[in-house]
Amino acid sequence: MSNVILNVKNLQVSVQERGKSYTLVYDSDFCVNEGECLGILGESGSGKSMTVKSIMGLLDTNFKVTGEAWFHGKDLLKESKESLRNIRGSKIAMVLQNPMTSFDPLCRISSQIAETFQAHTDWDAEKIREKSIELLEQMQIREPLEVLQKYPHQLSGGMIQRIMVGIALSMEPDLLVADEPTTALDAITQHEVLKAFREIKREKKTSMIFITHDLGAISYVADRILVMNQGRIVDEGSFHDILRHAKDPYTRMLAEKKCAVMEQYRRVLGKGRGML
Amino acid sequence: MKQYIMKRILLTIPLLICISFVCFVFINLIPSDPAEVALRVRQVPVITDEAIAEVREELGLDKPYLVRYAGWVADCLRGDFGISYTNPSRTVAGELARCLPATLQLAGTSLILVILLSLPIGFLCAVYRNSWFDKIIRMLVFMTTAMPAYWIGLLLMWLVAIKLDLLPTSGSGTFSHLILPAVTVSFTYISTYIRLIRNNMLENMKQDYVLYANVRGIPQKKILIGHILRNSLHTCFVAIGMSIPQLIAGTIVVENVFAWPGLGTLCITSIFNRDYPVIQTYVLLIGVLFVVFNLIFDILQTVADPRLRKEAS
Ligand SMILES: Nc1ncnc2c1ncn2[C@@H]1O[C@H](COP(=O)(O)OP(=O)(O)O)[C@@H](O)[C@H]1O
Ligand SMILES: [Mg+2]
Repeated sequence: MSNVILNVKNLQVSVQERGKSYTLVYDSDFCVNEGECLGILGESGSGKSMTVKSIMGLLDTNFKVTGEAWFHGKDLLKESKESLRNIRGSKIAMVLQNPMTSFDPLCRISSQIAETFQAHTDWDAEKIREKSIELLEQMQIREPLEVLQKYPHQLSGGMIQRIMVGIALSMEPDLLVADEPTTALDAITQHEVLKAFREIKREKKTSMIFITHDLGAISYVADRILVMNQGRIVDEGSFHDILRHAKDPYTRMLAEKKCAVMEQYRRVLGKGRGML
Repeated sequence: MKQYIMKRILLTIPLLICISFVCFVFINLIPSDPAEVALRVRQVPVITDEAIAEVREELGLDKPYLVRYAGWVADCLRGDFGISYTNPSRTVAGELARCLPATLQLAGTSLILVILLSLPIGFLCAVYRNSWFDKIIRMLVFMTTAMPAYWIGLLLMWLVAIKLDLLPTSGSGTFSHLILPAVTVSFTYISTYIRLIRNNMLENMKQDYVLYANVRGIPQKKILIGHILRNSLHTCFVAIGMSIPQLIAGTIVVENVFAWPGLGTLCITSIFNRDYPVIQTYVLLIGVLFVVFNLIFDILQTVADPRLRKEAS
C-alpha cells in the first residue's frame, strides 16, 4: 500500500447548544492514501461537511472535536490556530458547494485571489498578477485579464467554481478537499467540473477527498468510497463494492435507488453516458 | 448611472410635494385663528372683528386653501418663508439661519461621538461575542434604548453638572457647554448602532464567503476588517446616513433641556407663541432634510455596491 497522507482516528464532533450537547460525527476512522481520491457519500445532513471541517479547524468554538487527524506527521486536531491557517489554502485546499456565495460580493476576483497568495507567500504585486493569470488560464478561462477585474456576481456559477478549483490548486496542495463541488451547478456544468477533477487526478496526482450525495458523480472520480449515514461511517469500498455488495442496509437502499434512476436515465438517453 | 441619479432626483419631487402639503394642512388644522394670534402677538389692546378681518386680508388668510398652499410653496421656492408673527421685524429665513449653526454644531458633534463609539464597540462585541464585555455592553444597550433623551439629559445634568460640578448645566459658547447636550443626543443612537453593527457582523460571519476565506487560510484580522466589517458597514451605511436628519430633528428636546440656542429651542418657543410661519418652516425643513439625506445615501449606496452599480447603469 502506498503512503498514507491523511490518517483520521476516532474522530468525534459534537456541538454545544443551549447547554445540551449533540454529537454530529461518531467515532470515525479513515485514511487517504497518496494520489488517491477518497469519495464520501451520504445524504445531506449526514455529517460529511462536519467531518472535513473539523479536521481543517474550520469549526466555531462551540463545537467539540476529539480524536486524531495525522497529516505530514502533525495531528491537525492539536495544532495551533495559526499553524492550521498556514496549512489551509496551501497544504490542504478546499472547494466549496456554493460558488456564487463563496466570494465576497464587494471585492473583485483579482483581490480575492491576491489575498490568498499574500496569505501563503511573499510574492510581490507583479508576481501575484502573473500567477493569477496563470491560474485562470490553467482552468481554461478565456480572457483572464477581464475576468480578474470582475465582481463575483458578474460571473457564472461554473466559471466561479473553476476559479475556486484553480485557487485550490495554485498552491500545489498535498490534499484537495471538494465538498459537494457539483451540487449547486446545472447538469452540463457539473460534467465539466467533474472532468476537471478527473484531469487533476490524472495529471497532478493530487490526493483528494471528494464529498457528494450523488452516486454518479462519485463513481466518476473516486477510487474508494466511504458511505456516511447520520454521523457514522457505515460502509467502505470501491464503487463496485458499494453498488453490488453493500454490507449496510442504508447503503444498499442508496445503491438500489441509484440503480433504478440510472436504468431510467439509460433508457431515456438510449445509451449509457460515460459518466454513468 | 447619470440617468439613474436623474431618475432618483425626479422621483423625490412628488415626495416633496406630499411633505409640503401635509405640513401646510397640519399647521392649518391647529385650532386657533392665526389672525387672532397675530393680533395678540402684536399686542393690539382690543381685538375687534374688523381688526381680525383686516389682518386676515393682510396675511392672505381669506383666500381659498389651495391658493394659499400654492402661494406658500411658490414663496418657499423663492426662499421667502414669510415673516415671524412674534417679531415682525424678522424673517423666518433669518431666524432659522441664526439658529441653524448651533444645531449643526450639536448634531455634528453627536454624529462624531456616535460613529467613534458605536463602531469600535459594536465591532468588539461581535468579535468577542458572549464574552463578559459583550454581555455588559448588551445589558447597557438594552437599558439605554428604553431611556428617553430628556430623561438622560436631566440625569446627566444632575450628576455631572450639579453633583460633580464638572460642566455647566446650560447655555452655549465654549466646548464644555457642548459636551453634555452632545452626549445626551448621541446616547440612544450609540446603543442603536452598537446593536446594528454587532448583529450585522454576526450575520455576515455566517456567510459562505467567510468560510471560504478561512478555507484559503486568510489571516483572521484581514477577514474581520477587510471582509466582515466592510460588508457590515456597507449594509449599515444608509441607516447611519439617515441618522443625520434624525439627529438634527432629535435635538429639539435636548436643546430645550440644556437651553442650547438652536433650531429646537426656536421651534419650541415658536410653538408656545403660536408663531405659525416659523413652526411650518421648521417642520418643512426637517421633512426636506429626511428626503434629501435619503436620496444622497441611496445614491452613494448604489455607487458603492458593485451589484447595484451594474443594475443602475
Ligand atoms: N452550526 C451547527 N450547529 C448545530 N448543528 C449543526 C450545525 N451545522 C450543521 N449541523 C448539523 O450537523 C449535521 C451534519 O451536517 P453537515 O456535516 O453539514 O451535513 P452534510 O453531510 O450535508 O455535509 C446536520 O444534521 C446538521 O443539522
Ligand atoms: Mg455539506
